[in-house]
Amino acid sequence: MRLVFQLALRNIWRQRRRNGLVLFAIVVSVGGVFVMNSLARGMEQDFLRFSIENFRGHIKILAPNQLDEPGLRYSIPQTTNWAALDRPDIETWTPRLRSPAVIMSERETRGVEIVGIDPTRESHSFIHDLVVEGEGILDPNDQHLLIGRDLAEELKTGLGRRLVVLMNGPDDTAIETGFRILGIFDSETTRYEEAYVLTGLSSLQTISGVDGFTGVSVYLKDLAYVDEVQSSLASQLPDLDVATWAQLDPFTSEMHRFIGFTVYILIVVFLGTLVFGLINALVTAVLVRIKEFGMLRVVGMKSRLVVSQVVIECVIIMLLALMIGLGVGLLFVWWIGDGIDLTAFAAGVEAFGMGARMVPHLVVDDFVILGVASVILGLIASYFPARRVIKASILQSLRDG
Amino acid sequence: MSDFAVQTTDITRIYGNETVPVYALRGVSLDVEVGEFVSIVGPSGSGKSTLLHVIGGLERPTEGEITVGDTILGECSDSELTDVRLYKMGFVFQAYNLIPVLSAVENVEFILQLQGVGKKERRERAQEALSAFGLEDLFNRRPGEMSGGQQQRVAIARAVVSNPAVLLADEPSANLDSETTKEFCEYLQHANEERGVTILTATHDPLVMGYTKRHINLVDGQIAA
Ligand SMILES: Nc1ncnc2c1ncn2[C@@H]1O[C@H](COP(=O)(O)OP(=O)(O)OP(=O)(O)O)[C@@H](O)[C@H]1O
Ligand SMILES: [Mg+2]
Repeated sequence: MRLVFQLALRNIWRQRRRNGLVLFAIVVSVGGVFVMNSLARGMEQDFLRFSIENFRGHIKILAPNQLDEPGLRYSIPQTTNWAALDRPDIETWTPRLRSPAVIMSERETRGVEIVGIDPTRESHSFIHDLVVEGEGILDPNDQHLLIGRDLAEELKTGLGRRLVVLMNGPDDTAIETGFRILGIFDSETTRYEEAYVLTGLSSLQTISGVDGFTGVSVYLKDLAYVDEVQSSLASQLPDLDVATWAQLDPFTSEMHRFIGFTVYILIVVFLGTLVFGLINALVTAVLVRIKEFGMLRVVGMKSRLVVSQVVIECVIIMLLALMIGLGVGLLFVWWIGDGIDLTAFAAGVEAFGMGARMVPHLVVDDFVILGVASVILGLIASYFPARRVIKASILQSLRDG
Repeated sequence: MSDFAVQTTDITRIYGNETVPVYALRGVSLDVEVGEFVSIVGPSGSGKSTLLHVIGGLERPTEGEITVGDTILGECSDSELTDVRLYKMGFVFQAYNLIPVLSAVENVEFILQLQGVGKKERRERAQEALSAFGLEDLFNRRPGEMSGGQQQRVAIARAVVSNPAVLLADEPSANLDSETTKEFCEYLQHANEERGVTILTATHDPLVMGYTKRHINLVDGQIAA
């Protein structure tokens, strides 16, 4: 077998120009698939992040009817026992009180959502990486208002100014409260800036007279646990609605599935096309050496060994190309680093629910699939030239080669 | 063990189909004793190559029996035939004898490697064989870096390195000039006389015939008197 290996290596080197081209083609394909794959995965990651960070969480526990009629009328009592949430697959969970509201400056009026947060528990929502000018919400008892930059501009207001917030109380009476703006935040997407105004959870409870929450967001250690945790929580909290992010955001959920699917299609299509070129190149490479193979068989080399020489040649080329291709891809992804800047199109993409950068994301499973698929393709591709070698009888090989 | 290196009884080889059969050999019976140096001569198309091919186990006769040493080829499977070629036969063709990616010494070693001979012994035997054919300065040359005559000598060295029962050569001098052919024939003779290798060579070349002790004349696939 060492002999066969040595012969294979030397023959690869002998036909280095031809094999170099083959290698180059595979490297480009594998590298290309790798980069596209990581960008697609990055996009997917972005979609997921936006969907989950957006006050939703992987799983959301809601007061009954909250989905049909969002607001303060239906709430989860403060006294609820949350023992069910004490499990290892849950990273953290956080209660919030939210209500649709009308917000008024001296000049303008907008519809928004007012959210009472416990800032010490927002490590997994978009709240933790807000850039705040002025004073953020640092305590559930904070009584001032934190609003988004975009909203501030629309309301033509600013730090230190007052705003009036109007919302429907739990018993349908209107609640009108004055707030002072002590902080203005910038977030990754303007959607947050326009949609949410933030204050302390306890403070909002006091104002609204709701002794509880409208919902609890649960953040998991891994997306994969969602269904299991959801069904477990649903049975342990029969009085509450327990929904997954996918149920609450079917669009992103579909997108997630679609990208996962596309990634594999991409791999199959690319490598599939490649394999035809590969077979062609390998068959030609072998045909010019038919006489030589015939001679090997004449002097007593078993067909099995001759075939394995061809197969080994193919697999070596494939593996080499795979490694270089992955290396090149990795280098490229590293070079892209923290993303391709899409600011030029950012207005469009932000509205679409993405950040302004396209950040590559590496999924180990995809590498493995790409690697395994390449090797299998190499083996399949080697079948054809190998068959050519032993299909002819020894004498035919000597004559025709 | 018999005293014959090769025996054929009544071998016939028919090509083509039943409606248009081409008789390449018709009833060839031949005994070659151990240590003989035989040339097979005859006009083009007379069946010289075919005879060597069936003796070498590269194709099977339509009828008849061939014995090489004490192996009856007709009783061997294809895989066993491969082994018979590896252990009992040496081949020298007109061209394409050597593996281009291997050096002279590696080409000779190749046979021993297939036989599973250990590294050290292999190298020694290969170098000894090459030296015996005047190639001691060319161990590390690849075929592409050698003249036609040198390549044919490497081919003889490879053919005899494992002491085969018979060396089969099909027009080995066809690509050589007369000077080189002479030299080549002297080495064949050397293999025959010094090493006792039985040699069977098909040839058109009177020069080659001059070196052999016995001529078998083939005409139309039959041995002429
Ligand atoms: N594969 C084949 N298919 C059909 N006919 C063949 C085949 N091989 C050989 N023949 C025929 O068998 C006969 C003998 O051929 P062979 O090659 O043995 O002759 P030869 O004596 O070696 O000739 P040359 O001196 O030209 O090499 C010829 O008529 C040839 O056409
Ligand atoms: Mg011939």
